[in-house]
Amino acid sequence: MPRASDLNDIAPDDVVTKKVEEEVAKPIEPEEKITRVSKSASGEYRQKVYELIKGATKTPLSALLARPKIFNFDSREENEEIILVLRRHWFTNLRWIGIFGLMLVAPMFFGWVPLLDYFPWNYRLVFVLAWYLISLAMAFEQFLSWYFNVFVITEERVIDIDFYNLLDKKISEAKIGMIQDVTALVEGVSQTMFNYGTVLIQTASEIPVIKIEKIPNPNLVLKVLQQMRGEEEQEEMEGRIR
Amino acid sequence: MTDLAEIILVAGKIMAMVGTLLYLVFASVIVKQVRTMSADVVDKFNGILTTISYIHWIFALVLFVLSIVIL
Repeated sequence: MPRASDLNDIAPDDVVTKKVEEEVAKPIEPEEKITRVSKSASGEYRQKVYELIKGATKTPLSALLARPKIFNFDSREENEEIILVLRRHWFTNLRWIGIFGLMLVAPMFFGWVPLLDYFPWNYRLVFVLAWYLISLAMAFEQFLSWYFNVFVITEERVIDIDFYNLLDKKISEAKIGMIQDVTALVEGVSQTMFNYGTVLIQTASEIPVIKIEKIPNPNLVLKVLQQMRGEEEQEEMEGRIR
Repeated sequence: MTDLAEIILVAGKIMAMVGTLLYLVFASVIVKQVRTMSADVVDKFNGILTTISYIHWIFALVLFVLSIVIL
């Protein structure tokens, strides 16, 4: 019997060792060449995005920067193209600019405060200097808040960089492919007149909603994100085919 | 009445010194803040803003010294 011969070779107490077949490196067969269904389809989406943002300014102090050359952010990856950079609409700055203007002219009316007359000139000098310095700091803080709180759309993701008060910051980001829904809201008289509003981005990532408030031209942002999502889906589809 | 006036002036001086010292700390925080922000977000005016924050800090220091010297 063939089995008996096997048993003769292998004693019951022997450790049965199994030969591991060495994997022979198989020659990699060339992948089937599949013609790309639409090689330029994602490029077309990008082209549409460029057309959409064509009229946007590139001035550094603009609230809507299209493909800025100088702008950069900390977590940017190499060769990651920045499509849009958004700050709050300029109209939202009018309030603090008005307050700053009032604070500048306020010392002219200090003579009306009887308590100040009681103090000698050196006290009044220090008080007025302090007043101007505080006014300047207030305006500077507001400007910093406007300038550095940005929302960035790159070719791969959206990033919301928020600095709260002096030292707190929050950076939210979501991949374009993770965006599920985008809503643009324009509410009220001033927002309708000056075309600014809120964009809500619902994502499938850890941060369910990214809310960007008071940004200029929310409809444009909506359209850009739609195109970018289309491009991302197209890329994924092409990736699957390949 | 004269004593009361002196007490008020001394109190005013102490308050001014403490206030300007706190303001100097605040100005230092602004400098730090601008540097942190500039590291995170880079744009054309970052250098100017950093310079303004330092100038502001110098003014705050001058005010603090002034409150000690002339009050």
